Amino acid sequence: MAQAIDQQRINRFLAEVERRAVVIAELAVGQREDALDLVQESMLRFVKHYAAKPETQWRPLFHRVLQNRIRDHYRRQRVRRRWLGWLPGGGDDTDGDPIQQAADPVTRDPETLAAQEQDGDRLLAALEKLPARQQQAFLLRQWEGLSVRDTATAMGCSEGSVKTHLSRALKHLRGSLDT
Amino acid sequence: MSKPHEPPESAITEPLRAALERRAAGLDSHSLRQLRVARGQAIAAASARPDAWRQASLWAGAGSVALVLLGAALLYFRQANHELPGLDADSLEIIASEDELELYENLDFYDWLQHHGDDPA
Repeated sequence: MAQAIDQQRINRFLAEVERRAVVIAELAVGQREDALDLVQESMLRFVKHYAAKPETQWRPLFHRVLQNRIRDHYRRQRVRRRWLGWLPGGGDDTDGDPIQQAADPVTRDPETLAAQEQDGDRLLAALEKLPARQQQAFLLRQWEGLSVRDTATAMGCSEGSVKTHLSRALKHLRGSLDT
Repeated sequence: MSKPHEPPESAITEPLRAALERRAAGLDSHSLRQLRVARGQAIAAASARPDAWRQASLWAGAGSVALVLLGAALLYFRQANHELPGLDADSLEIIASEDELELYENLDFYDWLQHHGDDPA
């Protein structure tokens, strides 16, 4: 029989990770509404499958669920695009890259816009353009602060792969500052 | 380790972390409301699971008892050589159909008709 879950703890944990989860998903899929759907699905699956696990494992497990949902989203998009391509007028890419269309929710105040913010925004734009695995490795490792091991768990790959993806991500990001 | 002409890692990670934090902190009220609802649904779904499981078990138990009783009744009728009046596949279908209640009420008559209807006497 399923173990009773500690609702308050789960609620606190989800409230703690949800904002970052939306940003991570939005950077990956390019649309806020899609990102919210992915986070919602992730919450449901996480609570269903992993709520009974020790709390120390929650963060990497939640991100693993989220990354799986993002991967599924990519897969569905690919299939949809392939099928729409057969229809007259369908599948054309005139809409452009969804990442570029994503609304920037940050309200900019010109008075507080410092040089570091400009760098940050430039880097954020570069981060959006990174290949998915490099983007994941950077966000989980450098922003979420997961260990290499936990990042590997979340990404479903080896620790060596995490290091490789992260190193490439940093190289690309460094390049964006030079330009 | 970074090369001499390269900016240090912190020159990338720090402003980027700050930008990410700003984006997370700047989520609009609609998104925050959706997240709150999603959180509630996830917790409610997980909490409801044991009850739903118990309810499903009860239904399964009740179904099993009903099947055993039906089997016992059939065995009784068979051993006692009791004929179930007109309980062939067609009749069962009629009984199972809620739309045919009137027909069901007159089943005795149709049973009689089946046996005596062709009798010219």
